Amino acid sequence: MPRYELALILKAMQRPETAAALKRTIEALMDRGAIVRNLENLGQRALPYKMSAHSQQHRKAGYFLVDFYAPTTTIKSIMEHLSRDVDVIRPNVVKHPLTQEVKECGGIVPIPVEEKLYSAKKRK
Amino acid sequence: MAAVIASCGSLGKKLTSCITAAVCLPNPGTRSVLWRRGCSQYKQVTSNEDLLLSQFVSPFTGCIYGRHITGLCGKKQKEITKAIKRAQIMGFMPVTYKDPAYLKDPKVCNIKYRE
Repeated sequence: MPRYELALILKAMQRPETAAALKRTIEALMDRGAIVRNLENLGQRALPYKMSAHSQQHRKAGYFLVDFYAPTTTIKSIMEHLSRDVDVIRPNVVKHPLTQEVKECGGIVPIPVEEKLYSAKKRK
Repeated sequence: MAAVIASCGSLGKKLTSCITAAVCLPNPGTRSVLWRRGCSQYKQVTSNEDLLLSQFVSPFTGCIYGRHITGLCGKKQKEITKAIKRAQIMGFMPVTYKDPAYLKDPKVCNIKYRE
């Protein structure tokens, strides 16, 4: 099963409510056959721009990062479920960045331009 | 060619210290930078790293700098642009301005604003 990362932005709430929302989310993930690997808290901070979700406007939110394994077919239902949740401002499922292979970049290679500017035909 | 590289190296000391591949454009007609710092220092670009991505964004308007300013190669420029757009949509990075916490960062790009 491929590895995904859920960047979850939850409404700014008190601690017990946030805990309940997270528990709900992870249970929903596990119900759909996902295996949750890790949950990180990136802290509660001000949103970069005002966001409106479920007819409410938000300026502060709590950021959470869930990485999990899930079958590819269930991602759609996960996203639907999260969009219906009132406490979730913005859910985003991305392929986990650690699974992307790192390619060595050789920098900019200089191309000899003269070959392309002038045609190879023999001139008188 | 070796002499050009040596002169590029002496000019390069003013800018950031991470210089891996100094590739010089042999054509003297181009107005652009004499050398490009190696973009291999940016190994993996994820959308969570605001610090790295904010360095390629203008502090006044929040627009992403072009290739002639960042000096990155084609692949890395594309990767960084995509990561910035993704971070902005996901709600990790502001769009119209640069996050004030990152204003004092060392300059990676070749842009010079009039004081």
